[in-house]
Amino acid sequence: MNDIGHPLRLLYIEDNQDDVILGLRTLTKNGFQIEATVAHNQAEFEKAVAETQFDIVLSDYYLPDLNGLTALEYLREKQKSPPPFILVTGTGNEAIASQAISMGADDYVVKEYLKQQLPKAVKNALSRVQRDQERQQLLRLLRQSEERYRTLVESALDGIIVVQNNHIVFANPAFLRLVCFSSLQELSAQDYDALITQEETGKSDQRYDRPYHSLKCADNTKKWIEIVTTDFTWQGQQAKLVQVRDVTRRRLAEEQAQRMNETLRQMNASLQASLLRLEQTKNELAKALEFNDRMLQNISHELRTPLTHIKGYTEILLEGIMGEISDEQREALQIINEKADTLNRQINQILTLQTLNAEDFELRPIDLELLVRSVIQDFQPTAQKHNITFQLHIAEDDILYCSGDEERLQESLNNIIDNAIKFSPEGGIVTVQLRSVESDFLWLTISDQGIGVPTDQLERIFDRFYQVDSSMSRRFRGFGVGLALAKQIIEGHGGRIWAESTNIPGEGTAIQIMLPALKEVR
Amino acid sequence: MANEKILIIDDDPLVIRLAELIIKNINLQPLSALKGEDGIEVAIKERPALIILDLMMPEMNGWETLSQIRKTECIQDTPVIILTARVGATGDLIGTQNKPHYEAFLPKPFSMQEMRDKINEILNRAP
Repeated sequence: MNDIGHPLRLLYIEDNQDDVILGLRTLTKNGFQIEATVAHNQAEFEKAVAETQFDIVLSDYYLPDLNGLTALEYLREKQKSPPPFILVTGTGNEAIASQAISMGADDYVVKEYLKQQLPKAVKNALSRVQRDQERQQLLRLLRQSEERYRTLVESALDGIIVVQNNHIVFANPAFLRLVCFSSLQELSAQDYDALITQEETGKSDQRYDRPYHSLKCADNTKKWIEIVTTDFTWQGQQAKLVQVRDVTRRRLAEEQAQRMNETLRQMNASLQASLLRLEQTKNELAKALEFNDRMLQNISHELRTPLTHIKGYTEILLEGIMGEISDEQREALQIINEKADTLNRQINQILTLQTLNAEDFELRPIDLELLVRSVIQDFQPTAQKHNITFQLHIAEDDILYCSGDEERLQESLNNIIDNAIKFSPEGGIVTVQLRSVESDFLWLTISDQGIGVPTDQLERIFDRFYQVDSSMSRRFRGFGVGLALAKQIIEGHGGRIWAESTNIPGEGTAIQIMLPALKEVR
Repeated sequence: MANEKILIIDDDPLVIRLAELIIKNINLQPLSALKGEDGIEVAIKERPALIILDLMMPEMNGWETLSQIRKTECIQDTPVIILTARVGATGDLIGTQNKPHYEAFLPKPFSMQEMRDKINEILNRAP
């Protein structure tokens, strides 16, 4: 009859042994297995209670040194969960009995009807205990369950909030940290739709179904969040459960990527524009080159055709084909012919200057000494007219060969010697020196005794169409093409050419030329 | 030999006159035409020993004329000297790729001697 699983530990507070026997026998007859302890007085009662945890206490009211109620009180004070207490009273003591009940006793039994009432009372008391225990157990399980769910929500790193009527009625610690409010009360006071607003996208690239939201924090800063909202019932009412994730860093990274993208796009656009401009420039250059070519062809034709006439008819006259001519006429015609030749040379020089490429050179081993001597020979007549003499200093023991285009080199030397003679005073000396330097270079110097190129123009005399500004040069103007052409040719041979002078008139100008030497002559 | 004919085709009458004087001076007979088409007609009719041909002419230019000459059977093998100012830095004719065959060229301006020598050279005559 009892489900405790062990004999009932019973404390019987009664000093009358007969009553004890009666009580115990009643219970055992009703199927209870009892392990009874009897306390006849206060001392025994206290000892018994100290030593044993009883399952049930039965107590008579009248004892010599204690009454049932004090025992009840004692038990309730001393023990957290005192065993069920049944008071045994005599008839007519209902007042005491009801007092006992109100003090926490489970039941009372009247002595006269002990045999009928006691078993039921014990049974009920035990049932109650069991029910209590079961309820405790349930409560414990419930608490554990609640504990687990609460921990989940409180430990979650995402914010979890409950929104009702546009106010936050619950927020987990993660959300409070996120939003920097110190308490839920402050948070609840805000309007939810003021705190969390969806970003105006309007862009076609919706991020799947989770557009960015902005979260307004307690310090008025904004964070970017992602939210997931669902409807549910919270404490019996409609509410929204909102999960909030801080995606500020991701958003900023996205924005930066977008900016970089934009920058790259712009760079690309300007690169494209540059490419286009380059293309255009290329086309313009091509057109300019073409124009240049055509112009040159035009020029050459337009200039040379009249020259053809001048030279042609002059020669015909000189040959006497149109009749005999006098000596004076002969002289005049020769001058005309000479000048036509000069003009022709100039035209050729300009054209050469504009069109010469180093690739056009035909390279052969050249005896530079021989070439220099030959050029000087060619200019003797012109030099003699002004009493100008040449002084040659050629290092006879050196090997003076170079690899070059003979015609072009001759042209260069012609121009330089021509210049030297032009700027020499009457009776002056043009000095020509040729030697080799360490067998690596040939070094040619042509100097005059003229007024000398001003030192600040020494480089510019090699520019195209540049004319040294001096009254003396006005007589021999020319197009300013000779030296430029010489430079182009010398440099095209891998050589160098430059001019030296002092600012002292009479010390003239020295043109220095270096050309790579030919070490082996086949 | 005294009657060997030389045809000169050039749109510039002054040049024609020059050439005629030079040709007569070396005892040859000059013929002339101011235009390419006319020149070809004269060539077909007179069968000259040599043709001197200017390149830059309006209407039918030198190359076209030369091309036509090379295609016309009876005058196909006539030696031709090209006359032109279109000479570049190297002393070579500019733009001569894929052009019909010519024996020599005389750059303008030419001297009498140069023209004489060229003619004599081509006709294998003593200078």
